[in-house]
Amino acid sequence: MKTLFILILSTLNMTNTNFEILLGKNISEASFMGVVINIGNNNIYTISNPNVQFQGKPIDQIGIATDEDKAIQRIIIFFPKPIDSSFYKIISDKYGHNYDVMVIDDVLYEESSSVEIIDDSFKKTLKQKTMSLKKGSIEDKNVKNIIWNKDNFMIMQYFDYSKNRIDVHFINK
Amino acid sequence: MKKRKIKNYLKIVILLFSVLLISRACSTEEYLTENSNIKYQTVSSNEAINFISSSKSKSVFNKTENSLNLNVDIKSLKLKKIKNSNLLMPIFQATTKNLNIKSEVFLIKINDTIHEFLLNRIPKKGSNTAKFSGVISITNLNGYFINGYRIENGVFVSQFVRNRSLNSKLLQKTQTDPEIGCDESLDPYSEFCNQSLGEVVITSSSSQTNDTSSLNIISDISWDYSTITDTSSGGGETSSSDTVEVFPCDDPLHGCRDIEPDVTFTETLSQEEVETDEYNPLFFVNCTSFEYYNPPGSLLTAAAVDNMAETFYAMDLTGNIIETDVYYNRVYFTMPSWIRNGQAANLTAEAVTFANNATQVWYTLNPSASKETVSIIWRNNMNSAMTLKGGQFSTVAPFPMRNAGDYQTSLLSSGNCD
Repeated sequence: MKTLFILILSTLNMTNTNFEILLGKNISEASFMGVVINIGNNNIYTISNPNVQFQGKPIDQIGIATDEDKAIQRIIIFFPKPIDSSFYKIISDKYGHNYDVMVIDDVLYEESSSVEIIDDSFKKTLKQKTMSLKKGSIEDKNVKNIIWNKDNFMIMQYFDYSKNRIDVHFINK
Repeated sequence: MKKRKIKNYLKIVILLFSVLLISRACSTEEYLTENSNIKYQTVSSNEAINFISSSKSKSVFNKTENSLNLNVDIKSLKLKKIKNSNLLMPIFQATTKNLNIKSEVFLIKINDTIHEFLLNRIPKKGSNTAKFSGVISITNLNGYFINGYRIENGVFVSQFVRNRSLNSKLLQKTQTDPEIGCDESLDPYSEFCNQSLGEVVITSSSSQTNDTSSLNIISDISWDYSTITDTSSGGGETSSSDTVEVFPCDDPLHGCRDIEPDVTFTETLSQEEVETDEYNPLFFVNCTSFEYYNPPGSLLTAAAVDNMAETFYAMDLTGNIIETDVYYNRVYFTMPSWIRNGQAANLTAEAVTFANNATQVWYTLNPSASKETVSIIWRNNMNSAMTLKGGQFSTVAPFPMRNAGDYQTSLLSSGNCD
């Protein structure tokens, strides 16, 4: 019944799906957005080509992470093409202009790349880097994320420069 | 004289009334049988006991004796009435080495052949809800998975589905046979048997069959034979359902072979659509990365890909950002040979995109994961996503390959390679 209610609301207001209302709900409540698939027998679910949008932007995939009780803890929205970095303005119009712009402060830890030769042909190289962030402004060069801290949830717009894309996270507190 | 006449009339009336009653009873029975379109036949108690005691069943028990320790209590036979039908289902209590799992053997008869199954109830750890919470699985007596559902407080919320292609004859052959020695798969979460199960949230759109009537199980583990809520649906039902099909894909022997064929990660677009569509859903991974090659006589077509690299990010509790780069010099993707090479490339691009995003979601929840763990999760996700598409991911070449494509990402268009 709840799902039907959300579905009706979403249909009426396709461009303004309120993802935050799903936080803390059972994963079954997310099924109105499309076919929910779990591929790894863990608490990670994905919806491809969802029938909802975020602030007028089409979505390529939605990733959902749940806790052990299948309550939704985080929703990540992946967009099908690079969206303008000014997208934060659209989010601000809906979630308020009280946000923190976080920029890279320092590299705290960088593990030297390790190369393993599994056999004669397969090699893998792995690197891990931890960076601290500090508050900055949207005009700064190394903006990593923008955070809207709400009472019961948090929204993070993450700038993934490696893929030239922006992901939006809804995080349950 | 008059009295005798009345007596004769009375006899005729009683006779006619009896005939009417008998014919009505017969027609009702016929109506029930025909109208409900029941494909199963009742197994009598003698048949059930004979079957379980038969050499065929004994051989199964012997096979599983050392690992599953299946023990069927023949004296526990109960014939359970299946609602909305005239069928009786023989059910035996059974024990296995899994003491926390409650198992029962039930028999069904189709076309005069009896089939035996285990119904396993795996309670959720720490659950103390009034109604059952946990997983029920339906397996054969070797513990080989056929179907399964997750139940939360008496409501079916998701279905376990084996990840493999409906159309891949090769994969069906290799994956239909239970793994040797694999007797511990009563629990769909058991990784011992490498069952490659996916979990699909039950929705009204996850239909598996168009049958309007079916053998159903209710969350209190009672049985009925009826049309469930939505006549167009099969295994999946609405999220509030307390009734699901026992054999949703109409295949009691193998269960569902795949997630719905129309469950695709992204739509494949024509070249024209790719050029004109502002929002090409195949954005992240380009299909030209996957140059499939099908050597003569091979049942597989394969693509070697060089320089496969992705970066995943997470944020720890203190707000620090962790980035993990994973790089593989060369990996291999395989698909059945009947799939066109271009089609295989499109499907692989979809699968890898899907795996990348699934890995990213996982990492956000596990920011303390080591780089090795991130690498393993990525590979597992690529393997699962490829399996869903009917293919495989590997670090070993399936056959000698000279050429390899270069892994292409972050392009505005993934193109259409078919």
